[in-house]
Amino acid sequence: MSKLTVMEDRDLVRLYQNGSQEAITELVTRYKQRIFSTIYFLVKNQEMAEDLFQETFIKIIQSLRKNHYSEQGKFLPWALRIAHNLVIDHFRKAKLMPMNHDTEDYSIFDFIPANNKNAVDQIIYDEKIATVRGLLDKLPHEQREIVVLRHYAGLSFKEISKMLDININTALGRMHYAIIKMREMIESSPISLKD
Amino acid sequence: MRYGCINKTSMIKTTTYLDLLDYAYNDSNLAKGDRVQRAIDGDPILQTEFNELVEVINVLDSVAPKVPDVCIEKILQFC
Repeated sequence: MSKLTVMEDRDLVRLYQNGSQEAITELVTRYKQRIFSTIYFLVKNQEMAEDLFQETFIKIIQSLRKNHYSEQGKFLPWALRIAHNLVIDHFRKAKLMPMNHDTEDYSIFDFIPANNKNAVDQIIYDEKIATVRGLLDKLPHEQREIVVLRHYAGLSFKEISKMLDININTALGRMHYAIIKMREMIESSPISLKD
Repeated sequence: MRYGCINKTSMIKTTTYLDLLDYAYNDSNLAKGDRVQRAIDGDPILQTEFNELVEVINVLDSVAPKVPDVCIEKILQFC
């Protein structure tokens, strides 16, 4: 195991600021999935998610180079705050928030199959993905935001409430309602999502 | 939201929705996790709520968008 993979974020940041390319590669590898998933499920568009994902890391790198990263905060919440601000800017520029209607922007090929599947399994899997996407799409933006930050970004509710500048009970309430709604949708789904 | 739970020493402990979520996401420490599990075991309503929560989490877990390699390459080129 590489020594870098067991290093704490702040040590990797320090190493990068001292010129280590490997250190920033490790940080990108460590958090790429969480940051990309968060952006993806908020903007609901693959191409836009890719652009915002790259922009997020460019801002992160620029901030690190300028020593604007505070060690008092954790790296991931800080990075996600940058991503979240970019998402807000994107919708502000477009003067719209993500709508809860079906869109062709998602592609089944954007998702990683859990394992190798035969053709029939793949079709079932694709339907399942589309249905799960639908669950998230049907949630109000405020609720979907909490689910994505908790589930896909892995933030605690304390970190979410700080990031979104809302009361922790507000975040919890939104999560609770989102779970209830998704649970209802899972139950009424024409295909089984529980396997 | 709070759920009642009477432990062995008869002190009433409450399990909040945050406790339940933390436990479902494996974010509870050992002692707290044990307390929440005992609360779940002793309260059918709480058990149902927990099972439904885990079910939704499992469904969300079943898909994750792929990070395109080209994005990573571009980022690393910028570093």
